[in-house]
Amino acid sequence: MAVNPEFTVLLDVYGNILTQKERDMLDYYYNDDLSLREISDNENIARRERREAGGGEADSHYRENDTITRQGVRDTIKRAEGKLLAMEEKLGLVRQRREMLAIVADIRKNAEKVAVRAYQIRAPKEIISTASDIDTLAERLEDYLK
Amino acid sequence: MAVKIRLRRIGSKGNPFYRVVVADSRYPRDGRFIEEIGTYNPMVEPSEFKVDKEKAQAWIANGAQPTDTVKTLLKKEGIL
Repeated sequence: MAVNPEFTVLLDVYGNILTQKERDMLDYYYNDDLSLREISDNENIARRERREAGGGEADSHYRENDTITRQGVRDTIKRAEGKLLAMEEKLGLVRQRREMLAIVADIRKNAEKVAVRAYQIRAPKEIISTASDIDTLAERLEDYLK
Repeated sequence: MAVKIRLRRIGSKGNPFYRVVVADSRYPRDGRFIEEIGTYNPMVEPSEFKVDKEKAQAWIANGAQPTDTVKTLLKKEGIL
């Protein structure tokens, strides 16, 4: 199954360490739901157009055979996925972000609880407004993490 | 004209979210599509797949090809 939220997010975060070609292919595969066949066909069309635009250069014979197969696309994608997983293994930015978002959600829930309870027992306004400030700050952090 | 039913990503960085679209297979990347028939959110647990059942079945009956991903999702919903 092509759409894997795990790899989609890894591509968003670590895409810049990949080569342009790897990044493009993962983008087609995960974000546009193209099949391996469609990706290789599109790539071959693009290469042919570049060749024809380049005119009759000396190495045209070599470039004539410059096509990529469905299997070639698959290999490129697998290799790029390996790079993304290795990056996450070392840096863990995706896992960190997920954990931070869970903590922020907890903070917001607790701030809300304090505000509601303080209101019920007619606590000083200051407590309610501070709880609401905490929630606002946590919300800003949440937006930042997203 | 070969018509495909595929997912197309919308949604911000780090938050993938997809439209289910019916599109001409010759232009897989230029954003054009014939009709939007649903959405797919893989980021919630369990993932959320909403699709117009009648439209999906009508398109498939008329020869539209769902991608493997969409096929899997449609099967899970009991539409295929």
